[in-house]
Amino acid sequence: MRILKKINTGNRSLCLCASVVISLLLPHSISAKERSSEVPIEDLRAKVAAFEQEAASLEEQNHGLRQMLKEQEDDEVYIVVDTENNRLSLRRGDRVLLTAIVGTGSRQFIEEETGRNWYFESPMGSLSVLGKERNPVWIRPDWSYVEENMPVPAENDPDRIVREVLGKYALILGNGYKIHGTKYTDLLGTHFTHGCVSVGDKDLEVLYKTVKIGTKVYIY
Amino acid sequence: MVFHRREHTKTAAVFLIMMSAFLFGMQGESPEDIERRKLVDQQAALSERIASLNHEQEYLLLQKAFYASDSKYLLIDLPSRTGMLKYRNRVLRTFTFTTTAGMHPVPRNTVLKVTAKADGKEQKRVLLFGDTLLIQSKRSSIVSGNEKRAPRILVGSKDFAALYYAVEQGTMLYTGK
Repeated sequence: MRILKKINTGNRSLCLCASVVISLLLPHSISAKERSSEVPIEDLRAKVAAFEQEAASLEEQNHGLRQMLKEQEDDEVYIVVDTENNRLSLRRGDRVLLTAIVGTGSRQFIEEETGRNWYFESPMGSLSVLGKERNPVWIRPDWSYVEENMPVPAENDPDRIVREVLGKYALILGNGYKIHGTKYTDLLGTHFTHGCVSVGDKDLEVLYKTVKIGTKVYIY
Repeated sequence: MVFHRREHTKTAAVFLIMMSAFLFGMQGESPEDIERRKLVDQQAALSERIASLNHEQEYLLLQKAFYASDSKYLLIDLPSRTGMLKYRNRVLRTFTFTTTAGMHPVPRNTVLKVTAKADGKEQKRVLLFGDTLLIQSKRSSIVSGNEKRAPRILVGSKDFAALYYAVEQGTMLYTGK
């Protein structure tokens, strides 16, 4: 009986060993099967090499593009006028150097008996400072007389010359438009001009001292 | 009997040692397996890198086109909820916004065009980008019809007034990452 018991114990440990071996071998045989369905390693190597080349080429192209865009950047100041909210900002790159409450075109329309008409809107788009003036003089245009139901004088009539209504400084934008001062400071922040951009005295001085001829002005 | 029992134990022990050595060897990765695993990982990382470089290139090319064009455009940065109205390389206006999801979220890395400016009273004004997106003032009334399904970008009333006045049909908008 004792011998039989010992034989049984030996068999039990053998069975245990066998089951351990089988359970350990089983997943291995499955992974071997999986491997046989995998992409050949040479193909993988080739694919990785191709990806590396593609990434390098893209990096080079992007570097070139970034460089090209950087060359177009500059550190110049520029003026932006928001005619809807009557705000002017002096900017350099992404930075705002000055924000001013201004007056812009009244968006009103007048018509003369002869049929001549005017629409008072600030000039939209990309403009440049074409000139800078100290103590600017206003040469009254025809519409100013039409607006007040006055007879329009001759072109060189000295009556057209009006002093001290445009403030101390003016930045010339072309076609008769300017960024200038105003006597009507109460109206700043509204659409009250005939197309020019009116600015308060302090802000005008900063603008005059900061911008150069050629400075870009974007009006929208 | 004693001799036999010892002999059995010895055989079992040797068998177990050999078997465990064999199994241990089977469990370890072969050099090919290691290389394969590395290659697969490398491939995945590279393909992610390529996708991100492609996105970057798309944006850079777009910027190049914007810099050369004579039109204003909008850039929207969704994570920071900020936007810019730009002309070439100049910033004309910066603004913040909130979004409300429609049927779908605001699409990312996408170029959209203003398809219509819905006019009317201030609160009814809308910038439409097809069925894909709407830009409205925060004070605007809720849109109805098909547009209701599109995600909305809501900006402050002053910002919206400026944007509405500045953009026109065809103005481009780029939604970043």
